[in-house]
Amino acid sequence: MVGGLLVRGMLAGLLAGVLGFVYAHQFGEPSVNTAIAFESYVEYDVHQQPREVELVSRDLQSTAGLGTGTLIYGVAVGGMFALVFAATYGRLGSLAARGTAAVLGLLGFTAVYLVPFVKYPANPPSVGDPVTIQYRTAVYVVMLLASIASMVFAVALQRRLVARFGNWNATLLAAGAYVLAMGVCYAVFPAIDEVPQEALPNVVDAVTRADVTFPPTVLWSFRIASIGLQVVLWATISLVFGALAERLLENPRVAANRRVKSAV
Amino acid sequence: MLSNPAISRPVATPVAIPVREWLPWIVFAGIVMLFLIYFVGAEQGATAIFSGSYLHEWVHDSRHLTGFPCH
Repeated sequence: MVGGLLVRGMLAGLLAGVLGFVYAHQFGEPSVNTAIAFESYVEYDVHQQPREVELVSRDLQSTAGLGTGTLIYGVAVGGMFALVFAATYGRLGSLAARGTAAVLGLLGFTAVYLVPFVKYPANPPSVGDPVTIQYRTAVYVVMLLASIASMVFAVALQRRLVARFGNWNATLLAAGAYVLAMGVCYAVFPAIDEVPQEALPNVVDAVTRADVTFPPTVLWSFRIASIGLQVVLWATISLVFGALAERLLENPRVAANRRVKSAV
Repeated sequence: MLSNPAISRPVATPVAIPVREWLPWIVFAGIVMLFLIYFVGAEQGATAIFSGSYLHEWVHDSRHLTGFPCH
């Protein structure tokens, strides 16, 4: 049963990865290319550094490389989604397979991507000091784990409060608990700002010792594309997997057999 | 109990899958999935199992766009 769900989750994730690749190639690559052009301009034209040899060409990075990444990511998230679905199905009140998958999709997108993103947003190439990569990855992962743990706790809390407060109020209370927990995390976790910014006297200091400011609209369109990619991935996984899981778990023929047996 | 077929619902209330059935799957398949995400998100970046930076460069654009710290 769980194996069957896992395979379906990975298949839904594969489809999500394909759609995500098309989306990212169309809407993400333009800002990635501009960011890389900015990086080259600063390094070679402004700072006169010697040119580096590209290990993987831009053509490969933006096609096969991007496709590999989105497909693997889609399959992995789809697989995890199916496993979490197996653990929650039948435990969210009267929600059936498709409803459970849709709710998990919304909660997953929020906890795994959106809430960590608001504190530590996705950055295009040339934003971020290579020296601090370990530090930035560490705080991002800890934020990610805190958000997932808080969401699991909030859902468990909602189930406990349902009997006393009813479904609506229990959901509001649980959502409040999640918002409170993440608000504390936002306040406690260190701020990271490494968007290259030239010094403007009496306005802003230079960020990452930059003497050239990263174009803000490129940063904006990159981050919107990053959110869009996750929306494509999570929506595809939750809707496609929901339909596949319904056929597996709630096939009318199987359900009819069960009714006949219980009537005997 | 008699039930009227015209108003009976096609699907019964969803039946939860017992913990002992999904727990091993979450542990073992979950680790594999996390490993895949790690390769897209952080290998040859913050930490590295393989030396060099070819893997990093290959998944470079997707690492940026899926929101992981990269440079």
